Amino acid sequence: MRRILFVVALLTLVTACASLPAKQNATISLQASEVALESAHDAERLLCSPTADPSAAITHCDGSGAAALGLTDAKHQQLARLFSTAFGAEIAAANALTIWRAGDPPPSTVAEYQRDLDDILAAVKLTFPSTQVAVTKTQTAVDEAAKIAVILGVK
Amino acid sequence: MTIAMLALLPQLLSAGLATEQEVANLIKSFQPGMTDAELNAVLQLVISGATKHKALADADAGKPA
Repeated sequence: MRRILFVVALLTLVTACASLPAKQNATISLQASEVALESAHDAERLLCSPTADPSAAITHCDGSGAAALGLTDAKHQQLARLFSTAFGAEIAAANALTIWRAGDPPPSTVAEYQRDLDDILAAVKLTFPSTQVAVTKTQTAVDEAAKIAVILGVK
Repeated sequence: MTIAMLALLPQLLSAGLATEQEVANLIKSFQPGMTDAELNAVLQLVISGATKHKALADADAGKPA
């Protein structure tokens, strides 16, 4: 009897451990996506106003780079709304991943985060050349989010 | 030790090829990487960073805090 209980406990441990690699890989990709998205956001704000306090609101684009690229106040506000939505979805995805276990259905917030990132990528590509950090980092955020979707089996 | 090797341990035990103590020692040596608590700590960092940037984006967009 003791041996049977031990084997059952062992199998339970094996199952619990098996769920970790998926969560670990998804967490690592979400963190990489987050870092890239933060960099893209910082780069866009820096282009808008290089002299502004980075920890305060930027409501007016006064940088020479912004003028050269056509980054108007209206475009900056539009991008800010998209970034806000994506960061909100990322928070929801991270919260969902915190309680996610192998065998659970994929969190719907991951697909939502992917859609929001696609929206930002389309918008920054319309505004900036492909070599700009805001574009390359957003692309990285998109790529890492795609990895999460594969790991968790998002359709 | 991999997950697949770990899954074989009950068979070793039932076939009498290893004692419970030997199997227990093998389990202790199993390091699957980060623990669930460690992963959740990383996710909290993600949430913290995203929250800070969301607040900045909201401010830029003219949304009330």
